[in-house]
Order: sequence, then structure tokens, then C-alpha cells
Amino acid sequence: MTILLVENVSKRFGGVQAVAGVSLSLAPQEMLAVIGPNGAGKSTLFNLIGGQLPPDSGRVVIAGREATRLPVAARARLGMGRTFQIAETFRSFTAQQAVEAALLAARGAPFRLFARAFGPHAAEARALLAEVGMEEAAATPVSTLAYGDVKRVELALALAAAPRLLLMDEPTAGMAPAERGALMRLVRGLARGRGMGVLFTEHDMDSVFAFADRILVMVRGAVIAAGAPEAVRADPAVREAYLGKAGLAAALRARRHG
Amino acid sequence: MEWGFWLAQAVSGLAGASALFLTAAGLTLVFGVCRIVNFAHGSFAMVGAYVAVTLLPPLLAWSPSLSVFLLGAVLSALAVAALGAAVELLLLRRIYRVPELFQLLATFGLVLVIQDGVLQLWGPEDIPGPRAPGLGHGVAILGERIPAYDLFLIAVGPVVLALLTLLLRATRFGLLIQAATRDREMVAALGVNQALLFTGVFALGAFLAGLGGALQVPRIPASGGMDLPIIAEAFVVTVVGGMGSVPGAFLASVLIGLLQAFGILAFPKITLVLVFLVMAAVLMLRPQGLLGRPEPPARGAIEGLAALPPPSPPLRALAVAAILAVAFLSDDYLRKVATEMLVLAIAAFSLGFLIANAGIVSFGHAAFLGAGAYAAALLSVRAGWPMEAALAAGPLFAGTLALLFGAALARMGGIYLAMLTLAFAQITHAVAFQWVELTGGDNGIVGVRPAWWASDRASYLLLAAALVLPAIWALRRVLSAPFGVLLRAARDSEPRALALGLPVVAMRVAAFALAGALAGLGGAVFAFSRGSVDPTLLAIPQSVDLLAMLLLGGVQAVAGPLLGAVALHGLKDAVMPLTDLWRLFLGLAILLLVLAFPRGLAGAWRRA
Repeated sequence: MTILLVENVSKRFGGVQAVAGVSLSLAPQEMLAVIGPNGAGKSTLFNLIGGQLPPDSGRVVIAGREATRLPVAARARLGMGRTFQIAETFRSFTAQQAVEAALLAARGAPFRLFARAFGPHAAEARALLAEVGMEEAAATPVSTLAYGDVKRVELALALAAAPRLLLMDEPTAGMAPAERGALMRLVRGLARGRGMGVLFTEHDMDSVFAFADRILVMVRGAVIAAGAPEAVRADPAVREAYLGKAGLAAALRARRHG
Repeated sequence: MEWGFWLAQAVSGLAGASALFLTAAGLTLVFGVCRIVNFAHGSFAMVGAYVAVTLLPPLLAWSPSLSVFLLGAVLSALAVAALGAAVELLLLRRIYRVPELFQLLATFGLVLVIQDGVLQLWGPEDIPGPRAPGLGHGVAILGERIPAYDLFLIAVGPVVLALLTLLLRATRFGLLIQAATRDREMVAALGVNQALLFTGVFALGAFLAGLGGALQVPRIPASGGMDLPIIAEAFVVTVVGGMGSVPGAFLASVLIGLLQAFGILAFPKITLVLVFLVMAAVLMLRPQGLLGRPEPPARGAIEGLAALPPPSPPLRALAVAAILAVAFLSDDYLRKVATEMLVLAIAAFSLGFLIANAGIVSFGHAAFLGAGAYAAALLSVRAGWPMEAALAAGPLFAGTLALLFGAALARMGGIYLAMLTLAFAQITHAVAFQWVELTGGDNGIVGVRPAWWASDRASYLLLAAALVLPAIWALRRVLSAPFGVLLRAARDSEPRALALGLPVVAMRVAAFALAGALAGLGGAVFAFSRGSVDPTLLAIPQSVDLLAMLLLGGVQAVAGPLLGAVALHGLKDAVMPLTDLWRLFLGLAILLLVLAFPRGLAGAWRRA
């Protein structure tokens, strides 16, 4: 079964072909990384899948439903969740309240005027915070949390909608190196446990090669290689176009602890 | 109708468009670089007009020629540029980092100060300007007599556009302006003297506003009330044209000028409504304006602001006790004051809900207060409805109006929406003012009487309290219900709210309608208390009063808006009878408030 199917999508900005006929598919439980040098079109591809931009051609299918032209909120209701490069959370709430709000949002009925907002989902919110290792911070305002913790809370907010497909734009950006591995391990555990497909972009090659099941390499808008980390690592085109010496070293390092 | 007639209409529209373009170009340049929306920009145009009517007659007496006339106009504009530079140095420089709401409020304080300054210097009478030598005659085209000055003005627009384009493209100053409009941080990082750039751009903007005002005087006399209509139109033009885009401002002012000229033929009383509808249509298709570039959603205006806290039982008891005491133990004057405070309180509370929970800063909330009042008054006086029905119709009408406004424009965020709420309020004011047959124009509607059982002040106060207090409490319940909480969540992060599947725009429209209906309830209650309604009720100063109440009282304090209402009402009662200069004092008070606590207020808001 496929949770996300992208067929031949393209996007052009003026004279720049940002994404040129990219196709991919993602299965439940799978961790698929999209990598590529700056300007390769990763962010544009993400925005085409996420619904921030419409593609010029091609199609996007989420959980078997045509989603190419659907707005962001409608995609969310099909089971797509997302985290952002710079964490998007509800800063004026405590961590617990923020997750409760996310649960309310995910359960619908945003126009209920007189019911109590906080309370009905409290236990569930605590469970989600525990799942991302943030149960200690339940009563802390999100605005005062350390950034690595904010990223975990953001993950809990995304999980509140019980997504079957999670898009993660640079999940470890801005985190200390020691925190990165722990977060990626957590994400992989969630993907396996919840049967959730995870599509992520990442600059940190250690994270990519240690945690992705498959890797898609983009250069100048097109996919030049795709496959298991081992295969991608061995692909001469990738070595030349993208990894270079530094990337290759990282790839070898990751294999050592993998 | 004749071709000549259509031509005359088009010429008149395009001539107005030229002056509007000059003013709007200044506003859009200043916004592009300084990211500040200058409420006082229309006041600059007004000052330009006043300086021109003072400077031109002696100059023309000395040498009556067109070149001297133009020299006089440019000198007037330079005087305004100097005023602009002074304002930037003394005021704006200190508030670039405070939230946008405070910036707008500070520049509105400036509007008040300039209004009183102009009144003191030039008196209350309109002052007509001299004709431009050589352009005082009419030109016969297609059998119509077209004023030569209008043709001249039409030429001024493209000429100024060309000169500005040259300035922006070919000078270092212009290139810096363009660079700063695209990426302010980068320009700062490159070591450009930002302080100088900002002062220069602000002076240039003021110059353009002054020139627009000065060149209008042969057509329109200088008058003390011209500032707000000008700024409202300039807001519409800059938003429709695309913020920061000078050619966009030109295109939009031609569009708006022609619409007004021809709209007046089709809908003489509601031309402005037509303008508003076209604006809404343009913005629905192109939210970034005709030639604007899409911007990331504006945040920062109110980011991190805590929402209104949940209701507290002791305060309710206190409020009820106070109302009962006033109703039974005091005199009619206090009962009337208490009734009006209830009105202001619900208007301010509903505005506070919009700002703090929905993240919508409205500079036109009084439009809904006024709409409720007019609906109730008209139905009661003209249609003979009983008070009870008219009181119910007020909030319904205001809520429907707010729903339509929100549906058209709620997708615009932040500062854009704030500017459009102001334009909307100005338009409702103009409709109330101009549609004399229906609204009674300036005199308003008199003889709005309550039903027999509520006709004494004590009974009416109790009725007002019975309507307003439960409404306020209900609104407070909404704040801690899913709707209120999720609105606030979407205010904190729209991308997150959308990613969770929330219909964010629809929720904002609903919030707008709810706040509008509550303000309309206040307006309807007010109509029967005052016994009359008039256009000042929905004028922009009334909207700003509501904002000032919120800020005075503090948005978070439970009793904040109420305290603010009491404070402002008291201030006005105390100051207005003593002096004609109340605008000056109120304006200075607002300026001091923002200058004294730029970080204090902002910091207090952030900490919470």
C-alpha cells in the first residue's frame, strides 16, 4: 500500500525549472529522505506536496485520494501532517495546552462556542507529550522552552492529528548534534509504531544515512538517484554531483555506527 | 449622454487620481523601506494644502506666472518634507521596533496633534486656493468645457511617476530604497547608514504628500477635515496597487479615480461603496495587490500577546452591584454615563477579542458600533419598529456587515487588514454623511425613544446592563471554548493551524462577525440612550478611542477595557469642556504612552 504517490510533478519560477518531473512513492512505516545541494528544489518539492504551491504539471495522491489541487487544510484532513524548518507551534500556550489545542483542531468542530476547550483531551495530550519525551514540560509555556524541546513539542502537535503521512522539513535544523540522533531515532520509532510514512529533507548527512530507509537525490530539480542508503552511497553520479569529499566522509562515518 | 460629458467625467476622475497618486506614492515608499504605515500621511497632504494657500497668493501677487505657481507648490512640499524629517527624527526613529499596532497608534496621535495645530494656525474656515495662472480657463473639447488645470494635473501624475522611476533606478539613494524594500536586513548588513536612509525616505514621502495636497488647492479648498478621507483613499490605493510598489500605486489611483468619477453617475450616494467593492474584488484575486510581490504573512504585530483571561465570578458580582447602585442610588446624569460606559465596554471588549484572540487589528471597529446604532435608530424612527425589535436588529445588521467585510478581506492578514478596516470605516462614515435622505447626513437621526417601560434612565440602565453584561460574559466563555482557543492558536501560528486542518480564514470571518455583532449591540443600546445617532459615532476617531481604551486599560486585565473606558471617558469629560485643544492633548497623551513604554508595553505583552 502507498500512503503518498507523486507522479511527474514540475514547477517553474520564471526561467528556473525548480522541480522537473519528480516522481516518488512512500509506504507506511517508511522513512524516505530527499537530499540535494542548495537550490536542488527540495523545498519546492515539499511545498508542492504540502499544498503551499500548485504544481505546473503532474499529480499528488495522498492515501489514494487525488490531492494535487487541494489546499493545505484539506490535505491535513486526508492524513498529512507536517513539521517546519523553523518550528511552528502555539507559543502563547503551555506545552500541554498547545497539544490539547492541536487535538481539538484535529477532531474538528472549531466553531463550538461554549464547550470547554481544555480538559476533555488532557489525558491524550499528556500521552502525546510522553511519546515525544516532553511530559516533564507539560506546564511550561512553549515560548520559554529550549529550541530542541520546541521541536519535540511541534512533533507532538503534528502527531495530534494522527497523520498517516508526515512531512518533515529539516527536522534537525537548529538542534545540537547530540540531540539530532535522539530525535531521528524517536521519529523512526514513531513511523514504525504508528505505521506512518515519513518524508523528510535534511542537511545533516549523518541523520540521513543512519535513519532513512530510502534516499532520493535531487540535483537542479531532477532526481538523479534513488534507493537504499547503500546504493545511493555507491552511486558514482551521486558522489560526483552531490556528496563530494565531505559528504562521502559523513556517509562512511554513518555506516560505521549503523 | 454625450461623448463630451463622458470625457469631462473621465478628466475629472484622472485629475483627482493624479493628486491621489502623489500622496499614495509617498505612503508606499515609506512603507516599503521603513515598514511603517504612517497614519499621518494624509495630515501631511493637508499641511501641504494649507501651506500652499498661504504661500501662493503673495508669490502670485509678486509674479503671476505658472512657473511661480509651480515653485510655490514645490516650496510647500519642501516645507512638508521638513516636517516629515522632523517627525521621523523625533518620533518614528524611537518606535521602529515596537509592535505595528503601537506604530499606527502613535502616528494617529500625530494626526490629532496636526489637526489641532492646523486649526490653531489657520482657523476653522475652509481656505480656497488661487487659480494657477494660465490654467484658469476651460478648454472646449467635444462641446464640453474642461478645466485646463485638470488637464495639467493629469499630466503631473505620469511625470512624477517618471521622475520617481528615474530616481529609483538611476541614483544611489533610489537604489538603496529599492534594495531596502526588498531586504532591509541585508542592506543594513552591508553597512548602509540606515538612519539617514530612513529619514531621507520619510522626507521624500512627506514631500510627495505635501505636493499632492498643494497641487489640489486650485480644485479643492484647504480644510481641516481633509486628512482622514485622504489617508483612507491612500490606504486603499497602496493596498490595491501592492504595498511598496510605486507603479502599482499609479495604476490603482487611476482605477480608483475613474471609478469615483463614473460611479457617481450610477450610484451618486454610494460611490465609495463601489470603490470598496472593486477593491475587495481585486484583493480576492490578487491578495498582494496589482503589482505587489507576495510577502510572508505579517506577524509580529501582536505576536506573543496573551489572550484575554477567563471570567472571574467576583468581578461579575462587583459589576452587577455597581450597576444596581447607580440605577437606584444616583442621579440621571450618572445613569446616562453608566449606560454609555456599558456601550463603550462591549465595543472595546469585542475589539479586544478580535485583537488578542483572532490577531486581527481593526482600526475601524466603530463602523460596527455605528452600524448597529443606525440600524436601530432608522428602524425605530423611520419604520416605526418597537424598541425591542430595533435593539435586536442592531447587532444583526452590524454582524451581517462584519460578516460581509470579513468574507471579502479576512484572508488579508496583519497590517493590510488593519489598513482596510480603516478604509472601510471611512467609507461607512461617508455613506452615513452623504446619504442625507436616509441617514439625515450630518444631523443624523433624532427622536430615538425607548419603549415606555424603559423610558426613565434607571430602567434603561438596567435594560442596557441586562443586554450588555451577559453578552460580555458570553464572549468570555467563548474565549475558553474551542472556537476562542483555536482562533488564538491560529493567531500564534497560521501554518501550524492549517497543517492541522483548521479552516483558518472561515474562523477569522466568524470572529469578525461575532465582534461586529457585539459592537452593534452596543450601538443599538447607545442609540436609545442618546436619543439620536450621527456620523461621529462611526468616524475613525471613535475607532481609535476604542483602541486607546484597550491600551489604557491593558488588554490582559480582566477589567482592562472597562477601566480604559472609564479613564478615557473621564479624561474627555474633564478635558473637553476646559479647552478646545482636546485633540492636541489626546494626541500627545497617545504619543507619550507609546514613547514612554515602547518596550514596557511590548515587553509586558510578551512576558505574559
